[in-house]
Amino acid sequence: MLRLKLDPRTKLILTLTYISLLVLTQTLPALLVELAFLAVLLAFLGLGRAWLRALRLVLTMAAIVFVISLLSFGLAVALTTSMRLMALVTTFFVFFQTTWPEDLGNGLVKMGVPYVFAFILTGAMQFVPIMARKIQDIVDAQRARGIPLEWGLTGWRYIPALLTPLLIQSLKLSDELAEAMESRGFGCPNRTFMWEYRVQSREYGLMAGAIAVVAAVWWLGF
Amino acid sequence: MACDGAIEARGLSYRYNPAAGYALRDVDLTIAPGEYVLLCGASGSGKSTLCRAFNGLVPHFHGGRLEGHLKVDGLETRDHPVAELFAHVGLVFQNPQAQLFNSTVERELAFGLESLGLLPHEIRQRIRWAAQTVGLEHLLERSPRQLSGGEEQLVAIGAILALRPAILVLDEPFANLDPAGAAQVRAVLREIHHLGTTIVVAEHRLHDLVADADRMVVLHQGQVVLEGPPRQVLREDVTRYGLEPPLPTRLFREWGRPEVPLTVEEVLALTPSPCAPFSLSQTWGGWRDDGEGPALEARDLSFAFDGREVLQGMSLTVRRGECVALVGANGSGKTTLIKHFVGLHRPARGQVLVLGRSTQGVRVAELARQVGLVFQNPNDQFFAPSVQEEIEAGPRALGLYDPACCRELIALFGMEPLLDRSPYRLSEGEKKRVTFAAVMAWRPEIIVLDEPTTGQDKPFRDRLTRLLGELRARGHTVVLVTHDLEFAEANARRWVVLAQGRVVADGPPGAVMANEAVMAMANLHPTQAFQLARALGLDLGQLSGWSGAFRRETPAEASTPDP
Amino acid sequence: MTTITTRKVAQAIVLTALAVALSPFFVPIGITKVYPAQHMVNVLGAVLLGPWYATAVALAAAIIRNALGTGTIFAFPGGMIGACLAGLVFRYTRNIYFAALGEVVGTGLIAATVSALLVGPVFLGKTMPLLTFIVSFSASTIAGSIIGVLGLLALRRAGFLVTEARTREA
Ligand SMILES: Nc1ncnc2c1ncn2[C@@H]1O[C@H](COP(=O)(O)OP(=O)(O)OP(=O)(O)O)[C@@H](O)[C@H]1O
Ligand SMILES: Nc1ncnc2c1ncn2[C@@H]1O[C@H](COP(=O)(O)OP(=O)(O)OP(=O)(O)O)[C@@H](O)[C@H]1O
Ligand SMILES: [Mg+2]
Ligand SMILES: [Mg+2]
Repeated sequence: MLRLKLDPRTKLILTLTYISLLVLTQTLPALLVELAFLAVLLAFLGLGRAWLRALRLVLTMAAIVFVISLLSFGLAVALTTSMRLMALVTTFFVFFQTTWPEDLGNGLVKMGVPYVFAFILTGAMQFVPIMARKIQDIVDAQRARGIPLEWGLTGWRYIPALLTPLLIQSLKLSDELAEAMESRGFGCPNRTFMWEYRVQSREYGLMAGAIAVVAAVWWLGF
Repeated sequence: MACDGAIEARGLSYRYNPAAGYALRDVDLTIAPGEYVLLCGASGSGKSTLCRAFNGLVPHFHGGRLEGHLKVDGLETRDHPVAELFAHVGLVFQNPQAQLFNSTVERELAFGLESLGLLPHEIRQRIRWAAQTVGLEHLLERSPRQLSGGEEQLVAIGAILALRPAILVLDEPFANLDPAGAAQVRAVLREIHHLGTTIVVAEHRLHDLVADADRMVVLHQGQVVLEGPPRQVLREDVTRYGLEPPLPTRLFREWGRPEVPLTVEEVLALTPSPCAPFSLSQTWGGWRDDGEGPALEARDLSFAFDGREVLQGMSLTVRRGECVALVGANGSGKTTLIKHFVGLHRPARGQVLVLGRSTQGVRVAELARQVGLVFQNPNDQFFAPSVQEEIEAGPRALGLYDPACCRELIALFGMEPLLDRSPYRLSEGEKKRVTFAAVMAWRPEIIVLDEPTTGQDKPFRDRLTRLLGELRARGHTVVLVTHDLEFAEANARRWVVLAQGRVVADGPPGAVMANEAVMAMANLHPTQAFQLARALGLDLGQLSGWSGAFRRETPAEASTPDP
Repeated sequence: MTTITTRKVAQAIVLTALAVALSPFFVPIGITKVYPAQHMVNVLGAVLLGPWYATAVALAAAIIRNALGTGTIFAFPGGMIGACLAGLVFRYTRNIYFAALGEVVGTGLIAATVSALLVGPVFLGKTMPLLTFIVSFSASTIAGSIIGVLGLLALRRAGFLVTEARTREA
């Protein structure tokens, strides 16, 4: 996975700039250009395949939005709306795929976000696969003794068979995690960071350029 | 930093909460700087609690009342928060997953150092040193999620070691590791010990580890009941405390010899070879050897997770009435294979047959009637308010509920006193027994147990051995998946070795262990019984009977305290 | 930082991961499906951790789901408002049913309105029909809140429920 060598704050600002660009432009051609730019970016970063894999769930959401707006506003609006949604999702996706979670946390802390929140964010990213595996283990264990917990919960009756072990183990896991965090000095008052980024002058240039583009687009009224 | 690395406990008592009993009672203990201490005791004896007390999690994190005094590295734990103690006493926990919360190994090692407020260049230096000591240099860029069990444990140790604590405490660091992984961790611990660090390891399986330790401390119901150099402690009868002495020790005791050897080498040095002053006893009565036809079959079975082949065209037949042990390295595909037998995974290529019938298109609930699969972690399945309902949940869902059968089973497992309790309030061994009963409750003909002995003490293992004997006598087919070769040796006459998704050996334990290439490929180490038998020139083919001969029946059933 | 904070942070991490990992789970209701995971976690977070941490959990989960590509911009209002309201309600009533009600109102009415009137126009250039949002958000949050309450009851029965104000010693 490619991680761009930029200060996480720069990347964050660029991402937010791009999102405002997406929000500000209203016409279909502009949107197509923006999507094309994202496609080039995905290809350039070699993220195309990962993006396709991640897409499945968003597509259902985009489809719902498409149907809702089709019914209420017609085809043109439905198209732009769902495409803009896809563009937003892709922008986030590129940002996170090119930024280490800890760097993001570090950047957020420097921007004044509380350390605790940054830590929750980065820690949770590590625990998603663990929880997914845990869920799978529970579903397997129950199905092996005949309790029908197929993916998607076919019935309400057996929800406790998934929920109870899952929640109890989550609490146990969080206690173990808390002990491990304390044993490694979580919450010591003068924490340093091993990777210190400094915003370089060319990055300021990059940010200024991006903001200028957005301002121009807004001014010209696409 | 007053780095002496000593631990001194005086009259240390602790309760997690006022309603609970004492988890530690009046512990007096002195550990000298640079000692390697093995802290052992049955399940629930207070090992983890004492480990937590060493770095202040007890009482600062868990609350409750700590009485008496505990000084570690010159600091009274009661007066110093964990945030101050953690750099003096490093604590490594049993479950590596829960203690790794960074995105790369390097950042994992850095986290504690960042807490100390070190400068980036110091952090880099320390990471390099710790990675070298533990042997992690090639993994620094990897995500902890892409590591094997043994590597995860090494990262957990490295992350603590980087803090350069004067005392390193590890709570059951070998629990989920294959024998080679465990040996690697042991070697790293010896290395760290040579650097002058005090080491405390909590563990209830003594066999290999005891030779590394300078001192053994035996806990029983929260009290220190024995302590001293291993040889001296093992002179006493530790089976009373739910521990099993290493085989060489047991052997010499049986021979009535005064020496207390800890390793196979010592036995050989002390014994004029070859000699066999003890008899082979076969304990395998009452089960069919070559049963009538196949119970489970995998034919050219392949399976992949996200494009990574985990099973690669493996074939295996288990006959009815057999008891087979499935052994192999972490990640070799054992759990993945047995999930195929109840249809939780479906073959990507090849076929799986249960009692001669292909599983293709057969629902999980249908397969589960024949194949009872018991998973490793009991907490993955408890959801009923009482043990009774928990046991009945499976048969009811399958439509096979038979009250008489359940009653008989409950009697067999000795669970009458537990029936009304909440499954979550049981001890670990009791939980495990409930999961067995919950699957046995509809009498599947074939029973598959995944890692039944992980984290379990000697009394539990003895009980399970008896239970397996009972099952075999009733004609059940049993598949045991395990890293615990002593247990496999005592219970299965046929071993199937998996490596990288293929069957690399299949035969009696003696023949399997004699094949060094296979053992190395599968990350396995021969058991002490095997090494002895080989060195003493005994018949390898009959080896499986051996640990039966060595095994002592203990009246230790009652020594598992109920919380 | 105190032990209580550490414990809360750890629980927040695990709950966030749970919300993300469970997000593909759906409950079929008639011909449609609802995705209750986030709302269940909101109720749990509100009761276990209080309003601020619960909101942080919802925010972090929304960010991660956007990062993984399993969520959209609607995950932000759709999760955070309900979590915050449920947490506040629980803090003042100490009743898990009211907390769940807070989540339902927060998501089904307030978040749906915000999404339709604010997020819709700003991000998608169009005002979305309010009623559709209210119906679809409500279906998810009602299912999620029920499951959340079931979960809390199960935890209480197993003796694991330690609500936000009390500490472990109790
Ligand atoms: N977090 C906890 N809260 C309350 N009681 C606890 C807690 N942890 C352990 N106990 C109790 O304290 C006693 C000692 O448990 P401890 O975990 O120290 O034993 P152990 O020797 O580590 O056992 P095992 O070999 O099973 O890990 C047991 O009775 C146990 O039920
Ligand atoms: N749900 C899953 N998704 C992706 N990969 C998986 C999954 N389950 C297992 N694996 C991978 O498949 C390989 C085989 O796993 P499996 O659990 O079968 O090994 P095992 O022999 O049971 O190991 P252990 O002794 O550690 O239990 C491992 O590399 C594991 O990481
Ligand atoms: Mg323990
Ligand atoms: Mg396994």
